Amino acid sequence: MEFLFTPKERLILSVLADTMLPMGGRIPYGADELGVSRNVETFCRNLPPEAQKGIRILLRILNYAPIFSHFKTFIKLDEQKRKRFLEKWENSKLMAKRNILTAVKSLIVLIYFNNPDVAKIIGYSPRCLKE
Amino acid sequence: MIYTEKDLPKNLEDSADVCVIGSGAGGAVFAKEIASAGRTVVLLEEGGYYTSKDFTRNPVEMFAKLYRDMGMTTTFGLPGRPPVLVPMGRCLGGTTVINSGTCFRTPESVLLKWTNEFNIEKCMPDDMAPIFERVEKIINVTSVTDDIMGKNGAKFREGAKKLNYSGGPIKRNMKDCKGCGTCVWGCPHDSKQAMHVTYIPLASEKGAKIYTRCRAEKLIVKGGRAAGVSGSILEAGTDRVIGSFKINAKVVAVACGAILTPVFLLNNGVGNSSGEVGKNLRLHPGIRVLALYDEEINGWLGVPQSYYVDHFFNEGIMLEGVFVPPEVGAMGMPFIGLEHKELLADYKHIGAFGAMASDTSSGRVFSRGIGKAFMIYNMSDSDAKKLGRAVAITSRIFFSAGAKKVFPSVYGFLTLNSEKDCEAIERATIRPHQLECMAFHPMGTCRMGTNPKKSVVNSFGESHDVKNLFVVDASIFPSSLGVNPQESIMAFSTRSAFYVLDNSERYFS
Repeated sequence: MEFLFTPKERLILSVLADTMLPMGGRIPYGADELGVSRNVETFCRNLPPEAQKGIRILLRILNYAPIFSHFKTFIKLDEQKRKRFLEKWENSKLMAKRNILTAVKSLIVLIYFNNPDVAKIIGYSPRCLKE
Repeated sequence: MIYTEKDLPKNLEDSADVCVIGSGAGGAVFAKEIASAGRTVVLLEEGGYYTSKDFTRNPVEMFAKLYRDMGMTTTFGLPGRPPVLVPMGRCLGGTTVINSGTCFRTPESVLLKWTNEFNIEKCMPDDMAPIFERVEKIINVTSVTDDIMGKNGAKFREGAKKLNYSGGPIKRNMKDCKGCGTCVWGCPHDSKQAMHVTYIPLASEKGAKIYTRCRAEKLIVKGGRAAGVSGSILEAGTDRVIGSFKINAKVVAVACGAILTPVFLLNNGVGNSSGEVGKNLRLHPGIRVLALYDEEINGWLGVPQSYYVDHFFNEGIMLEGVFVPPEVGAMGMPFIGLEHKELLADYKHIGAFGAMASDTSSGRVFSRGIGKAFMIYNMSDSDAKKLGRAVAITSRIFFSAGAKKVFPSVYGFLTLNSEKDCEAIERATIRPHQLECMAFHPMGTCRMGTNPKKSVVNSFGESHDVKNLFVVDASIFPSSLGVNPQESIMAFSTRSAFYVLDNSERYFS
């Protein structure tokens, strides 16, 4: 199957996913161990080409933006700094930063919480009130 | 008879009295009413033909099958004006397959406005009442009952009643609904009476031919009249062009929805002497508020959109239930890392409700080519103020219902811990950039009117510029409805069909 993301973009996505959804807590799985970034790429294959291009640009923006404050790319930051960087963007007074973060986060959480093992821990299973 | 791309020859040519483009709330109704009168009809649908056996209730799979662009169609605005996600259906039955099934008649105040301000003929409440009754009978409009409401709706009702806010159980197009909560991924039991289980089979029974995976591209015009449609046959899964079609017709009805109908007209360079095609886009921008309860809510059980609060309708605010599975809910939930996961781990305790604004903001649809739109929508400060107030009201109802925390999805107000915090939102001047919005009711982009300089179609949906060309979807609404539009779309499409049939000699001789 043809790859959508470059190896670098795939790495950025994987680090983003693992920062947003690390191991631990009542849902113990981390994004990486559930193959979230691979499945995000599969999902994105069904998006129109302009949207795919957009996602790739957003990944690069999130990776290079920390250079201005930390003199390092996102993937080179330690875990704590990565989390704080994303939290800053999620709560930024600049709408564009919030939107960029939300766009990438949405793809990652959609795939993560679609995983049946995660759904089981949450207690979600699609059924009807009158079965 | 319903045909898929596998049933069609590489170069399909056919003729009919009427060719309808689009099989959603407008197109399916128009096709059925015309076919029922004995006229020959071809109905074209770009998307695929899916039935309840295809609806897996898995959002990731259903986005790919049933939604245009995986549900990610978005408007863009000027700096400081938020993008708005506008999910649309792309399948036989259109957006009715993926909507919440909510049915409201066009409010009387709106019908009066259209009559008095836009001079629309024969759309007073008394004119429209029998048409609404006809539609409601066919799609079985009934109120949600307690046994399928679900706890999310029931708790909100409890909170609203304590505050004496008027509202009620939502009316929906449904038969024997089991409260599965997956309406927007296709009803797995055919309980939701969407077009593919109502008007489309009825049209087919009356001889209409329904061609799926057929993308209309060119309007054929002869002597100033619509004379047919041509386009491409698409391969399922890839959208690769595998054939072509040409339908000769005496009347063409365009029902691609308020985003793609103007794209079709703009691409064909027709119907736009007024310059209004694509303009006046209204969306009903909506916000979603989440609440955390101590008790289990299990919001995915029951009808997601089961209750409404119309106490503030005159302010342009309508509150309606909303609930989605956790993977989709997570997309709008705050926090990064373990905090986010812990919030989702409590999804059984989450309640959700939405509010939409009857917008005065206006947008515009531009064409980016065949079947592709670029949408601009600049939310006004007054609509943002409405939505800010809607968030405060919704949050107040949640606390009244016993919620312990509310997540309003407004920048600057991450978490609300009490009713006092709701007052803070109400006092604040909420600006557009603070809001995260979605919208499900695009309309207005080919508006009807009696002045050809200020409208695209006449009172009955016929183009001012091209005879025998009709628009029969939400594009024609001259202003926001303030309520969910599917019943209005069906009613006005019925009205247009009757108009054509009442003037058969003009259109079919």
